[in-house]
Amino acid sequence: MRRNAAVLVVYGVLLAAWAVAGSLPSVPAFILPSPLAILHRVARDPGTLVFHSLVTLQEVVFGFLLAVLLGIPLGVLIVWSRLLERLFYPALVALQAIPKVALAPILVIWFGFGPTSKVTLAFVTALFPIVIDTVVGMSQTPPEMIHLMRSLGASGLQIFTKVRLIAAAPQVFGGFKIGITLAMVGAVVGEFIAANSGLGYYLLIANNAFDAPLLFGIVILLSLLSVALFYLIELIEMLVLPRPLRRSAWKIQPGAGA
Amino acid sequence: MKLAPAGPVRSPASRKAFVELEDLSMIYEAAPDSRLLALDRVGCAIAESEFCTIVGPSGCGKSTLLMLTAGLYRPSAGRVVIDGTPVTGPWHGVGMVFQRDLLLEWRTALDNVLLPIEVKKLPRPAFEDRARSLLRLVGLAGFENAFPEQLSVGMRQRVAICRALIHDPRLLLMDEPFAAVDLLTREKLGLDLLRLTDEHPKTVLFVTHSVEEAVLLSDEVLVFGPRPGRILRRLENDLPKPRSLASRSDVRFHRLVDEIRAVFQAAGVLS
Repeated sequence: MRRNAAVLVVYGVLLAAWAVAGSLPSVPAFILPSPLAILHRVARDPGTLVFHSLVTLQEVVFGFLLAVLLGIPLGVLIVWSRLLERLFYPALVALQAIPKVALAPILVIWFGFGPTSKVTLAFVTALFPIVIDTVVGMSQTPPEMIHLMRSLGASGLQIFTKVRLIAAAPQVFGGFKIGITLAMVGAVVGEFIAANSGLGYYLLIANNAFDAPLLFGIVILLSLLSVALFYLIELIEMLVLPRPLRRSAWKIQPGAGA
Repeated sequence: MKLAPAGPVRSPASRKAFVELEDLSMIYEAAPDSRLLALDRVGCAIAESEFCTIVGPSGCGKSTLLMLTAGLYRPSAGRVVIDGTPVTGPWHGVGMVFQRDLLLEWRTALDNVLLPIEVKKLPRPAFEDRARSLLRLVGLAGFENAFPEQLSVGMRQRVAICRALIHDPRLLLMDEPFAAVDLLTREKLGLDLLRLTDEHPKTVLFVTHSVEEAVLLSDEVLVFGPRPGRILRRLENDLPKPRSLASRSDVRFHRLVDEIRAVFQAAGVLS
């Protein structure tokens, strides 16, 4: 409780400092609008903001779900087969190395101005951490555990479902958390390039109109949405994973691993 | 690499051999031009229900030998015969315990013990009582529903031992099972193991690098030399049974320990 109070105090002080700085006569409102001015501007037309938020959220959620649906099987395949690892891994790293802004125009040409191109961009951005964390999580199963299972006559599928996948879960959820925030970045970048709705699009409109309070309001809203999605994943993790798995699956013991 | 001469060692003909290692060699190919001879023509026979310890320095191929016996690795030369049948793949009548307990953190102690039953698709209710009684035998009554993270290192390893025994395997393979446990707990765990294998007779192959542990627990000791791994000496253990902590002060205990140390010294392992 005391820690929560401390956090509130810190944020309160920062907000107050901002309000003071924003109201200084030497600081023009279009450079740093005060929090109150932002609140005023946002309250004037909340409907439009909600509309664009829902568009962006939809793109983010679909893109993220697609990344989960394809990323986990891809990670499994990469762990499963050396050949597939050689096939997919470099391509995946190459894809990650491309700045997503550079990808956006191509995706717009392919999928048009609508939400599909943004969903694709969100998907592409979120895919990498999910695949990597699935691979890392599944590779952490100690070789002795695989030996033990095989000595019992376990099939590859049994080793996978009873041990490797469950043991990878904490790591995979870590990938989800990074993935969902990146999906937000991907979707907004997509909206920046070419769109007719979404917070990224609305941000450009506000920018062109020199509407600084709205611009700040949208940026703050974007970060709040990201935070909310991040903690939503954490909540799901708490509900889905059994308690002992929430930290890590394999305990390192003294002297182990020799 | 030249192979050192090593004759096969046979157990007394009076007892029926259960595990026969016939001139086992194992070569690991790390790179095309770098080969490591891990085991060099290891031959011996282990009688049914015998507790055989393998003692040797690190990197002498002891773990490899267990993997070969379980049929998890394929030997480069020679073969393993269990109960008269050559081993060609994972041999399923085996229970294994490793240095790491390898408990699944998301399963309770009881569910961890029952893992082999699940994997083998045997009826769980039929084995649940057995699992409970095994846990009771190792002093874990009341911890059936505890998660591994709530147990001490020693308790966790006891659960792992129960898991290795639940499907009543005829052969128990143990790879330095107590190496991660503190010394006081270690001897107690060893004696618990002897009690368990007394009640449920098993042929045991137990790898350790503690000479004292090898002597305290075994009917027979195989002394291994390093690189390439080979049997330097085979010793019958005449330390009287049942063993207890008091067995350590027996003259025969010290004589055997000294004898094994002398073998290591002669091989240049100890200096």
